[in-house]
Amino acid sequence: MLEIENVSAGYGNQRVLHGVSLSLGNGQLVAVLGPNGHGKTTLLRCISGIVRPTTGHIRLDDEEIDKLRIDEIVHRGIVHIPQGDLIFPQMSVLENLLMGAYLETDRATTKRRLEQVCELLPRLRERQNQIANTLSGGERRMLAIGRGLMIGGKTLLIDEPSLGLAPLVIDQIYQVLADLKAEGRAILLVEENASRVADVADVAYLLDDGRVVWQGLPQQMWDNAELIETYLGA
Amino acid sequence: MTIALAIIVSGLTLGSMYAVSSVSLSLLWGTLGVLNMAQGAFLVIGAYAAFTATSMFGLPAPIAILFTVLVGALTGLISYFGLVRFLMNRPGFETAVIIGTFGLSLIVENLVLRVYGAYPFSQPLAVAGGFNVGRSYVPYQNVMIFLGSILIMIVVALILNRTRMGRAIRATAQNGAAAQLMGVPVRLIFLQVFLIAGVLAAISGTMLSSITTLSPTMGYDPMLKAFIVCVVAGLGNVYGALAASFLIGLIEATVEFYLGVKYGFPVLLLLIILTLIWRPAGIFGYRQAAR
Amino acid sequence: MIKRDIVIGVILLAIAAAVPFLWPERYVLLELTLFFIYATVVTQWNLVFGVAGVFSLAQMAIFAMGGYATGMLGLYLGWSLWAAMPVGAVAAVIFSVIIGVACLRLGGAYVALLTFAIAEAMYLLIITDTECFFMEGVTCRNFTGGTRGLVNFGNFGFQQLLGYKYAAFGNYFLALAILALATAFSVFVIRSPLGTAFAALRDNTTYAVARGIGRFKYQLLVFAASALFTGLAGAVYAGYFSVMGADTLNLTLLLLLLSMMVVGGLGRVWGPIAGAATLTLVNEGLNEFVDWRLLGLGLILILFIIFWPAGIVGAIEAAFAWLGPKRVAPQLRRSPGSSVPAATARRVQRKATVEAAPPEPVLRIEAILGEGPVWSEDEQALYWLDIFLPAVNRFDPAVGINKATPLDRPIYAMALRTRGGAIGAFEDGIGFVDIDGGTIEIFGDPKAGSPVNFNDGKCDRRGRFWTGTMAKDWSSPIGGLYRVEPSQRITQMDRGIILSNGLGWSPDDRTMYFTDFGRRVIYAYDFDPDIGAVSKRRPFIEIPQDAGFPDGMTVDAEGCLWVAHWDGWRVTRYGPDGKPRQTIRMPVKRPTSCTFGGPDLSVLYVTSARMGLTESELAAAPLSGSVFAIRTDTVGLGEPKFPA
Repeated sequence: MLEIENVSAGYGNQRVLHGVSLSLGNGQLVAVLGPNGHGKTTLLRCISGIVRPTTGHIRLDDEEIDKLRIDEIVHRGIVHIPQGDLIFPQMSVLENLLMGAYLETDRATTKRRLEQVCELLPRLRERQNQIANTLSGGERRMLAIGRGLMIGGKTLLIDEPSLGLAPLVIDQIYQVLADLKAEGRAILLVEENASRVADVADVAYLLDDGRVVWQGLPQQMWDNAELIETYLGA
Repeated sequence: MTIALAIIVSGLTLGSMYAVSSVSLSLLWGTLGVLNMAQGAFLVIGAYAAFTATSMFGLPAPIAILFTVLVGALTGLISYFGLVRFLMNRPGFETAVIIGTFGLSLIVENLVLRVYGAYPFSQPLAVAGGFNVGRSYVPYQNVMIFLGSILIMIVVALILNRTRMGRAIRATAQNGAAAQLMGVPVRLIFLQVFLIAGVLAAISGTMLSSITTLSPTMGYDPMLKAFIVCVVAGLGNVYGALAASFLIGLIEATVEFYLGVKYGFPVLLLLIILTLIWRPAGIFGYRQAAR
Repeated sequence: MIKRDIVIGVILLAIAAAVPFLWPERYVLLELTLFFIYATVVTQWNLVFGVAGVFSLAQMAIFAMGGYATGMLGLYLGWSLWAAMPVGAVAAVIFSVIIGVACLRLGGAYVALLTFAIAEAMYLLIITDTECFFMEGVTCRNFTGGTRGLVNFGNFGFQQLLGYKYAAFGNYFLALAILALATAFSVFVIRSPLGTAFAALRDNTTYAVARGIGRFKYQLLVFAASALFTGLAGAVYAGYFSVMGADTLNLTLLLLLLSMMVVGGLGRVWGPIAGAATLTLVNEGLNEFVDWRLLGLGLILILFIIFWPAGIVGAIEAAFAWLGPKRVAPQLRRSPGSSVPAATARRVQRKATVEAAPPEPVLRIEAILGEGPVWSEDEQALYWLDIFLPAVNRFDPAVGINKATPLDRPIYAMALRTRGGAIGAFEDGIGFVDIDGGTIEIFGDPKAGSPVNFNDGKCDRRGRFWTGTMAKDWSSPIGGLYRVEPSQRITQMDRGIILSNGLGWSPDDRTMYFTDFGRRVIYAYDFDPDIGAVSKRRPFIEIPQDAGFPDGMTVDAEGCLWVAHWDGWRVTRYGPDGKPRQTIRMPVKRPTSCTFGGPDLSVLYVTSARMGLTESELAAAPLSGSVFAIRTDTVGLGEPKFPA
């Protein structure tokens, strides 16, 4: 279980998160929604170790992880699939995926994971040897997700998977998310586009100005006219 | 024919030395975004280490080479731990590294000057003699350097492309943030790169000093040439660096022969600037995202 | 900001102007004049490097160009240096534009490399200039002066103007004037919108580029503009020393000036002056150790870049900031929105009392301790617990059938889960129970060895499961209130309860109710549904001695509390103000809990217990343990499920 307790964080003099608390259990998908620039990405970065919280605690299965190095956190099974994909542009799709398995020393396991990932995302197998920076936007997103899955971690932090993609592709990605959830992974999903979230999320948090302003069941958001108007725009 | 051969021999020799030195720079530049202004100092340290091992300690050649390699690794290590490590994760990182390594090069120059003096020793770690091709004399040392460089470049290329560490280095160079998220211990990678860069620079410096002479300021010119190779070849491209080095070596040899030594560098510079205006990412390089 | 700069500038200028009259020693004037010349270069280099972010190492090449151009005009065309100076400056500007166009598009380290190379090339061309350009008597003179330097181009003529004694003054004030103008210019640039734009570029290139700030254009502009004063400084240098040599392109000198910039503080207005002053003094000091000068400079550079990257000025500014006013923290915002679906609220009637039919025993059963009734709207069935049987029951009122799933341990509280089954509170902690099979899987136990048991629990409308504990001895105030989140995180929310019991929430989720059976009190808290926080606990309803004890409860759509009275033979309806509105008599002594169910949530189901009743009491209330239904004309709010 991932627990975020009263976390505040920022960049330099700018504070972005103010006392955010949430928790995530296995086999769950928790969605973090809210306008852009209000702390959702920073929250994920605090968890994966890119940003250090200034106050508060982050615990994974009761172990405090907020002061660990990024690679130590990855070791503990937290996979951060960041906004913007961040693929390795001059490596092939296969090499990108293999980089995902960097921490895995057992070849058989790596091979097995590669098989699983390619089953989940067949397009990647098709384009194995293609150089990553020649892929289309949707393919890159798939590659970023596939690479993240190669890490084999149980807890996934996914930042805006549907950003800039065509609806059909978004469908595919959300199907993948549902499958991952069914496998028992814990998923923390950041989305600005709230409409798809109700399909897969168990719990939703709304972040505004770096604070949790609402927490509840995804369907409840849509029943709440004020909420929709104030935060969910569309 | 004789002239052509002389130019080729000279050009290829120069090129091979630049190649090794430029890979060292390219690794640092590509992986860490570090412009190592102390590259020249690394070369100098390597050259004087070889000199010390052979002349002053009287060690046999293989041991002396090992000694030089170790000193090179140590240089890389100290540069990382003593300087670069402190500058990382800061917004003005690039500037700070340029200035810091600049300072480092001053220190090295001063120390070498004090310890060894300014006397232009000749590099004893070299092969004497040569052979004749027609009316040209080709020294064995030049051939050694040429073959040695190619061998080193192949080894480096293999490491980068076929090993896990090499892949991690390339990943770090292409996207450090993503590499971290894969669990790559990026600090360790930087250290590895510094070690490799130090070793390569030391070897390059030794080779260079065997053709010219040892002096505390011998590093600046080759450093500039190595920079130029990196710029022309694009970063992170080992085989491209090899090709570009030979190209530059040959151009330099040609210009110097026909126009005189003093025009070698300026002409080269002009060509480089023109190349960059035409192809900002270098002749072989990939489009580099603006930092 | 700019006012402060003007004040500082005027003060420094005044001091500098006064010095020659106070210490007219030649040596001092000489050193200071040189200092002014170098400081001018540093102020301009600071604009290029520190403000515009251009890693140029060609500053001295531009300086030299200014000096050489001026000297050559004087030497070859016989111009007066005063006329040659501005032209020399323009030559420097043209030169910088050429360099800029060639290099600046590349950005970053590439610029450093190329500008370094250009300066090096210039140096090489000069010192290898051995051809005779013209003959001076029998001496061969090179075009650039070669290694000997360019000479005989005249000077500013101060000796003629001011006499021998005050000639040095002339050079001094000329250099000071140039420095003053150069500093004024750099203040102007740094404090202008252009300066701000550059700061944006430095700190966040992507953002700045997106905003349309063209990096190349602005950098070229600053590069060229700064070349003007740099070229002037070169011209002054040439006229002052009457010789222009390639030693100005010396690496050591370049590094000295770089150090001045770094030590003073890159990008700061007064950094160059502070740094130049400091390093001139240090340089004087290092004259003793001329052999170690390079090392000294190198060390200073490294130390500053590691520990004081903002330089002296930066350190001073930081000290002031630390002493200055603190920032005020922003206010916490409350979130808008109610939590109850609008449709339900509309169905509510506002009456003091409601129609309530007499309680009807819909399930005649002898439950030891019947509790925790939960209505499942999609199944249209009532789940309820028999704590000590122990079993989870599922009663379908439409057909009148009750199915009991036996468990292997007592279950004290339960809420249904969205994915089927239930979450429950047990002796050994909180866990999930599979209602079909009866298996229990505990995931957490917050009691930590305390001699308490769980008692009653419910989900709030945001999916959190709340449950309380009771002292096993029924009297110690060691019980607490716990919140279980969908992630299975358990947090203790309150303590000091003797015997936890019924809980509920107002329709707007702003108030939470929580019963302490042991104290005969129902508390109210301020509830924040968005973050699941309780605060300001206060007694809300107190049950008089003769009315039994408050047990389980439920809240209807009007916000009224329906409370079962253990040992009270009744269910009481209390208003949102805590005042009793109506009492419904029960045919059993120990009704335990209630909840709304049925197709429209208007039927109040009540559970009961036979536990601890004497023979005679059981005879008087033979239905003890059964489940009752009371038809009302109000509605309940529905029981939320645990979303995991």
